[in-house]
Amino acid sequence: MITTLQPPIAQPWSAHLWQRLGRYGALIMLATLIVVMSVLEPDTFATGSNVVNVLNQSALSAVIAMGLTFTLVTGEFDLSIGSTASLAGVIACTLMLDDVSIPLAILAGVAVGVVIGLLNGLVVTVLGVNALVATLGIGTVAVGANYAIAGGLPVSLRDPDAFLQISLGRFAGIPYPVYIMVGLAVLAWLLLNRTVLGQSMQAVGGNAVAASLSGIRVNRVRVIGFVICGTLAALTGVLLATRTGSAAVSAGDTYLLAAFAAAFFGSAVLRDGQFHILGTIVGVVTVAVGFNAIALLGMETYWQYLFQGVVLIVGVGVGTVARRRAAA
Amino acid sequence: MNRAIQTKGPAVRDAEEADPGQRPRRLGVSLRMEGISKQFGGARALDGVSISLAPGEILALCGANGAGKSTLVRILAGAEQADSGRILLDGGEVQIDSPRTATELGLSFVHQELNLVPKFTGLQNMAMGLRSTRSLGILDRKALRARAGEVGEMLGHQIVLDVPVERLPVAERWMVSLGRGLMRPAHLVALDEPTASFTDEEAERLYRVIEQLTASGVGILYISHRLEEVLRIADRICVMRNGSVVGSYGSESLDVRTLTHHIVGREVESIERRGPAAPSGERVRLSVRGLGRPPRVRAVDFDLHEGEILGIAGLVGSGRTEIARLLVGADAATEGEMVLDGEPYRARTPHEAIRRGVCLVPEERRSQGLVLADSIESNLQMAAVGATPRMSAVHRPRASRRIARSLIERFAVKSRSPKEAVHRLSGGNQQKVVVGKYVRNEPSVLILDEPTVGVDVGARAEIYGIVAELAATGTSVLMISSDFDELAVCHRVLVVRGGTVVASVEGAGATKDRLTQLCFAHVDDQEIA
Ligand SMILES: Nc1ncnc2c1ncn2[C@@H]1O[C@H](COP(=O)(O)OP(=O)(O)OP(=O)(O)O)[C@@H](O)[C@H]1O
Ligand SMILES: [Mg+2]
Repeated sequence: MITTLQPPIAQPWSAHLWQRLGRYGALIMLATLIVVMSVLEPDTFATGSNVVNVLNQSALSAVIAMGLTFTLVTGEFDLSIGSTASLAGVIACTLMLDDVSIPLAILAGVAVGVVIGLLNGLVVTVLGVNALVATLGIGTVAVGANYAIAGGLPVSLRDPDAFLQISLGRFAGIPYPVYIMVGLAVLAWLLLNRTVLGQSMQAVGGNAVAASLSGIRVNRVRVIGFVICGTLAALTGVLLATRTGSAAVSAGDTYLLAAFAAAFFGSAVLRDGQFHILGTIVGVVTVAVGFNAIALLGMETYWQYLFQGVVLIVGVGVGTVARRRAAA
Repeated sequence: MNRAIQTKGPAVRDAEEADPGQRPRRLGVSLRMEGISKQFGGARALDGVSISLAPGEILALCGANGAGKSTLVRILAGAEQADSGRILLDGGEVQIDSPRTATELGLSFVHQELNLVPKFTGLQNMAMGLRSTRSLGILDRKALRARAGEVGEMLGHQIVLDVPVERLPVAERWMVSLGRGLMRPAHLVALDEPTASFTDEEAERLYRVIEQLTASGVGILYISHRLEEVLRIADRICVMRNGSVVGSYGSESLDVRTLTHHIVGREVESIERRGPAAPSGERVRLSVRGLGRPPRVRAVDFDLHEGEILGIAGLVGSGRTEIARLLVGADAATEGEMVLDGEPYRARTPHEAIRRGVCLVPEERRSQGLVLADSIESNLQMAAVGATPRMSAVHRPRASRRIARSLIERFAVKSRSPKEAVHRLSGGNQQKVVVGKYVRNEPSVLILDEPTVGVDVGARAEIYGIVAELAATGTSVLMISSDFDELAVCHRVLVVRGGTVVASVEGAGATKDRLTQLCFAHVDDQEIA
């Protein structure tokens, strides 16, 4: 039989360059930001404690964005994550006010996410409702439940010290949330890249018909994606409450867009527009470094929004343009 | 812009009311493509290719998978830009920078892959980009419908016009695509493997349409891997290999054997007809009784033996694909019983089927077989992933890559590495990946729906070889094909008509003529709504 793996042909250098730029453009952006800031603010930015600080600030966004990445990988998306996070926090805090133990309350909060994810998944797969409508609907129901429970007021713990320790506590000088982020990132990466489930998710997102004819249980895989997403969103909401010892009705709202921005930015990192865990983390960290820089330079808060928007467009845009050039 | 071009083409000459424009004074242009080169990333797809086509002439492009035929056509269609080279129409150089320009120049295309808008109906798809039917920007639906109906009539097939194409069987989608290419007014029509999933009878009607076109001066650029057909209808044949034209021949000077030699560069043994000789085992592997899903399929009975290669012959719309889909649970059967290896077999989902070792290689590679943006390697592992019962099972990328490499070699997939995205492969090589991904599962029943669509002569022989090899080791193969010649590799052939099996023919008797005859008998009283 003829061997058909052809010897690599020399690529024109321009195509090569564009390909590199497509893959590494987003990382180069992050690196540039870090280098420039280290030069501008060597005493405040480039310090160990600031690095820990940035990572700590990334932790919650990273957890919720990783969850979202799973639904995006399966070719769906979830608009209910913000409301899920808020509801989970409110439920956990309400239970603690009723003297339920901390671990149980946390568990209950996270369970809310499991249920919402399951509902999202079933509405999308069994009823066949489009994910946009389904998750918007379920998310709105979650907001309603939230108001029913808390009456629209923040739920504050009477004696929050033990609960606050989850956010404030440190091991070897590094706050717990950073460990949670790293641990979940490793698990999520393994799940997507080293298990049959992860491979199935990627296949379903790539071509659901082909995946189904390959024996992959498309609906089940989609539901699992939604459940993981809902669970991590709820966990984010509970962790958010551990920062202040109270849960506000709309505490999770800002995380919705931030998570989408991070995941889409991440799809341009090292890959050709596919969603993946490492990319999402890079997306979250890039935004956190930017915010940190803006704060250290004493710029006004509105710069944060400008920065986040521009980072998203530039990161994804450069990747897209570069890929087109490399292919041409 | 030439006014005449925007009026109707010969395919609709008689439908006066179909098009309010002027009658063209003259149809057909002479085409020259000179020194066309095209590079994709590092790969040279075309290397200084020149062809010419006179009005009313039929030029066939032949060549192995990946030779560059479709790329040349896509450049002419404005879907791809050449790196260098010129295109001349009637001696004048033209810049074809977009598909729209190509349409305006009077060039019409039926591409190798389906390019339909899934949510649009057949009619909407056929009307897309048609400018001549618009007056004051309003689509003249009645005229369009009349014209579409007429093209359908010429093709001898009632094209389904009012259903979103995503809901149509694949074969019907092809009819829409073909009708679309033929219904627009054109000076030149390029057809990239239009008959790949047609039976001879269906192809025959297309030839007649082509004849009418050429008689009125329209030039035809024709790509096909079916060499008999090429020899029959083409005036001249250009053979391409690795991005260059290696020869141009008058078709009367060639026969299948020499043409094959020109294309592959070596001898390929022709299909040996298998006798009715019993397959290796007499044991029944899969027994099907009364299987059905009315109205398209009903009361299907047959036995598939161990090591048997069983063919299924049928026309477009006969229910051949639907039967295959019931066997693997892609659609759920509403009637009937199946027994696999002595145990009841009820496939409700493809997952259950695959776990029992029953695999279907689907007919449309791009929408049903592949994740186009993914690598060859991950496409090849997909059916193995689907067959794994426990989703928490560990996935081993390295083992996966090793297997991918060996399959790429076994099927002679022309690629640069296992990590190459499959959308970069030529059509035939994509098809090999789809077959390969299921063969990897070592199925006990392998169902192939049109496995050699778009596959070149050399690779086709290799696929038959693999099928024979699988059968020899006990795999039972069910092979659906529109190419009745290729059913010669089967021990036995079932004829499907009107959604059920109407005849079973032993290998030796399964000649093309006999199968064609059986496929057509009593068409009228058997037809299903
Ligand atoms: N978009 C693309 N990106 C990279 N390579 C491509 C692309 N399109 C085509 N090629 C390469 O160009 C070569 C020619 O492909 P082409 O589709 O023209 O072949 P073909 O002769 O039509 O083959 P087939 O008979 O299989 O349809 C192949 O090696 C293919 O891999
Ligand atoms: Mg082709």
